[in-house]
Parts: sequence; structure tokens; C-alpha cells
Amino acid sequence: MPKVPRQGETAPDFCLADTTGTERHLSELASDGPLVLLFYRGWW
Amino acid sequence: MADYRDHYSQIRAAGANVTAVSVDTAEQSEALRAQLSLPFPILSDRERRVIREWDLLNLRERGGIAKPSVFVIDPGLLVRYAAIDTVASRVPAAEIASVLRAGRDAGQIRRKTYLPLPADWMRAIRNYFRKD
Repeated sequence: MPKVPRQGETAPDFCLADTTGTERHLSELASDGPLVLLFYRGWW
Repeated sequence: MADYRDHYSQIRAAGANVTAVSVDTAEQSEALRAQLSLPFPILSDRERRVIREWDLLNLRERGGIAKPSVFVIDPGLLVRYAAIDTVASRVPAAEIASVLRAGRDAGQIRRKTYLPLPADWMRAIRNYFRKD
């Protein structure tokens, strides 16, 4: 079931490509300190 | 995004990183990164895989886009803070930066209220009719 990760919970890891085509894991992005993760609407 | 760009050095000084996600192609994201001089990476979720799993999919606009939202994820993937924007209320980057600086639980972040400008309405209307 889709679910927004809430405060105090563990976020599910994911893997998505950045603009250079490199696959990035959430766990790696948040490994050397907190990560501010922004979801946005996109280009218009 | 520009708000987080403007507070990027504060966020970095607090030992944190920034990453953005949208349904755009890598080319569109790179164009936006260049246009706004964004110093952080943008990830593409073309298939809406993560956006769906995180229940952030807004199906009302152009094939489904992400609901604007902000998370602070600690190492080990513990969620320190999570907020989904509403039409008129957003989480200011300055608030996130102060939480990161204090290294504390992001209990009460003050949201900022925005009044939509005519340009926002035009964008919303364009978006509504856009197909891609």
C-alpha cells in the first residue's frame, strides 16, 4: 500500500537516476548526514 | 526550489545535503537546474514509481505529478520531518535550516502562507491543459 513516510518512521529506500544518468540510492544520499528531500511539481 | 537554493549554504553548513525529485526527464531537470542555478541534484521518477510508493502522486495534473513535499531523512533512513505542501502553505527552507542547525526533532516547523499571484493561476491553468 502506498504510504507517506511519517516522522519517526523508516523511509523505504529507492534508487533513481540523476540528470547525468547516475543511479542514486536514498540510503547513499542520506549516509553522511541528514538529507533534505524535495519532491516538486516539475517543469512548466 | 529557489528558496532551498538560497538557503543551500546554511543547510550544508549544518552538515546536511539536498536532493530534489520530480517526474520530469533528465533533460528537463537539467534545464531547470541550469535556469535556477540549483547546486543540488535532481532525480527523475518518470515511471512515478517512488512518487506512487510514497503516496505523493497527484493524478489531477498532466499524467500525474508529485505533490510538493519536504522530508528530512537522517542516516539510516529515519524520517525526522515530513510535510506535504498545500495550495497556500509551504515549509520555508529557513525553517528546515534552523532545525538542521539545532540537530533537533523537527516538531513544530512554522509554515509560511502564500497568496497565489496571477502568474501562479496562469501556470496552473496551463498545467491543467498540458499533455505529455
